[in-house]
This record gives sequence, structure tokens and C-alpha cells, in this order.
Amino acid sequence: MAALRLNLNGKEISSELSKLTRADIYGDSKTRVLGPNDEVLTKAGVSENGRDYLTRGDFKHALAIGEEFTLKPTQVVNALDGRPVEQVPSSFAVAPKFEPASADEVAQLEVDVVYRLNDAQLEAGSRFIGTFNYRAGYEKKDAVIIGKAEGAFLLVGTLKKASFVGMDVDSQLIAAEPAEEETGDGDFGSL
Amino acid sequence: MYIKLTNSQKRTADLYLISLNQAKATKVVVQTADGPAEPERKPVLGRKPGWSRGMEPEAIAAALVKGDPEIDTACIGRPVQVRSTVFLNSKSQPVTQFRVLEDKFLPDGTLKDTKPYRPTEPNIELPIQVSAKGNQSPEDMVQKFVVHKIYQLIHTDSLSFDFIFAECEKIQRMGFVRLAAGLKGNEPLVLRREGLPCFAFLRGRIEGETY
Repeated sequence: MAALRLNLNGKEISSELSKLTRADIYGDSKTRVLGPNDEVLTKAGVSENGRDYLTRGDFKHALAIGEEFTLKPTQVVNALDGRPVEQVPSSFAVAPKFEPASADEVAQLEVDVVYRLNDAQLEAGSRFIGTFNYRAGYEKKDAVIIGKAEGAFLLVGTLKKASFVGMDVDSQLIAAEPAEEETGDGDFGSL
Repeated sequence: MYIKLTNSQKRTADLYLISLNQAKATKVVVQTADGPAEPERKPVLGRKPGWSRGMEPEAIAAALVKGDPEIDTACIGRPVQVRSTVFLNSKSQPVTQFRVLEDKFLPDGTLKDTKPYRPTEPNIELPIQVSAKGNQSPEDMVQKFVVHKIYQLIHTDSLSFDFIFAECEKIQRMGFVRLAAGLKGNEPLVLRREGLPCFAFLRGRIEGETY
């Protein structure tokens, strides 16, 4: 993997990243489904006609507008004004800038991915906040860098800022709550 | 989702837990005669179901060369929906007698043990308790824990407003207070079935008449 260049409060550092998962720290668990004679079984979806058993790879996703499928090129636009959005370059191409941050700011990050900065030497307890995009994309991802006795870590996710709530709570707050994603029967994600 | 929160004085209130998800800043559009339209992703058949099940890539390539099959236009590209799920054996036949095992692995990847799979059950039907132990200052919190999910607690009526406002006022200077589940108040939280047991902390702040 290419080394990542970072600008930490005006000081440029360079380090290789290694992804750190929950399984690396606590271990992991996986489920197996066994049939008669301990044969490993494969999960499949039953199509609406009841005849086809669909496994991973049997289906693709196509774009449709209403009932009509389309092969027209797509465009990514701003959700509010509809203007085309420029791509955010990968942080490996453009060195991201990080500024010192308070513990309160850092605690607002809902973390998706954790990387260890293998070659970075940071003071234990130091905290920086900025953005980091592993790949080029259309939205910047929030990130913090934390210095610990065990090394330096890059945490990537989304900053979640809660708003203050009064007695007359805006019912839109609760109405806008999206359903939690579930993967169960009848869902392609479960295959 | 609704939860019950019990404070250190053993008072309990019904509260609502909301994710702090913001609307996406971008969207994908396709230009149509009526202007830009947001397309929907729909699943379609990409190959004949089960055609290559259990075959190695080399065997698939050999079968394609040998059979030289035409694309079945009645099948490929057909919109499809999943109605239910089954488990198939190597002959692609549904199996009704099966057992589910869970293999647990150590961080180095070695198998620790294998047990019949038992999904975790949510434990938030019982009141969640504010624990007297395990409180963290913000500095300790960001050094010791990785926060995977942040929810906001919202009151459901005037009684729960008074409860949560007073609780936020009390814990504002304490940093993060530990929440625990279970009858004895010593279990990690499991929010949904098959969910991971999680440490949970509560942060409170007030501003004027709001929390």
C-alpha cells in the first residue's frame, strides 16, 4: 500500500496504513449451516415464481425509472440545488489537513473504519480532526487522528452533532427516523 | 426505538432513541425528457440461476467453451424478487434438516471453539440503568473507546422531559456515564436480535430550557 501523507497542524508526516478491525482485537465468529452427513449448505433466495433458487452472483442490479429500465449515463448532483458535484480526490492523491481538536469534538465521531498509522510518532493524548477519503468519492468523510501509547490511529466516519431539544420537540425529529437496515428473508443482502 | 431509562434514584422514564443520520448531500440522477430523475436500483437475473453453482472458475470457462450457450433473453435481465430463503445442498436441492454452528476464532485466526448457533436477543425491553461505575471523562473516552453508533435520547411526554432534563443537568460535568442493561444492571446493551453486545455511555448537556 502507498504511504499516506498527512498535514498535521502544518507539520507534514508520512505513514503506511493498516486496517484494524474488531476481529483483530477480539477475534471473530462465523456461522456454518450443515445438512445431513455434515454437508455444508448454501443459502439461497426463492424467487417470486417459486422455481428459481438464487445465490450470490445470480443477480445484478439495474437502474429503473418507474417501471422502465434505463442504460442512460448517470450523474451525481447536489441533493439541494441539483448542480453537478465535483469528485473529492483520494487522500492518497492530496494530503489531507488535520487540526488539533478537543476530546468533545472527537467524541462526536461515529466511526466506520480504524487504521493504524504504522510509521507516525505522535504524543500520547494528542488529537487531530479533519477529513479522509480512502478512495475518490462524492462526499468527504470525517476523520480524527489519535495519538496513544500503543501508536497513532486514524479513525474514519461521520461527525454526529446532536441539536438541543426543548419541551415542544419537533415531531419531524422522530418522523424522519429511518428504519434500521435489516437483512432477513426476502432481502438480497441476506444472501 | 423506545427505551426505558432508570437513573440512580431508581426513577424510570420512557424515552425515544433516534439515530443522528443526516440526509445525503448528493444524489444520482439520469437525464430524461421530463428533466433529471432519480433512478431506482432493481435486482435482475444476471445468469441462469444455479447454472454454475459449485463449479470452479476453470470448470465454468470449460463449460462455456464446450457448450457455447446463447444468452437466454427470456431469463437474463428479468426483474426478480426474493420471497423467502432456503438452504441448498451440493445438488442444488433444498434441505429441510439442517443445523447451524458458530465457529469462534481468536484474533490470530485460530479456531477457539464450535458451538450450536444461538442468536443474541435484545435486552432493551427491560429498563437500562445509569451505572455508578465506569464513568469516563471525554479525554479518557476518546483514548479508550471507539464509538460505533451515536443516538440521541428524546423525551416522549412532559414527565420524561423533566426526567431527561434533570439527568442531563446532573451529568453535564461528569463526562460520559456508563449505561448497563439486564435485571442486575451489569450487562452490555444489545439493541436488536443478532446484535453485538455493546458498551454504552450517556452524555448530557443543557442550554437554557433545552437539553
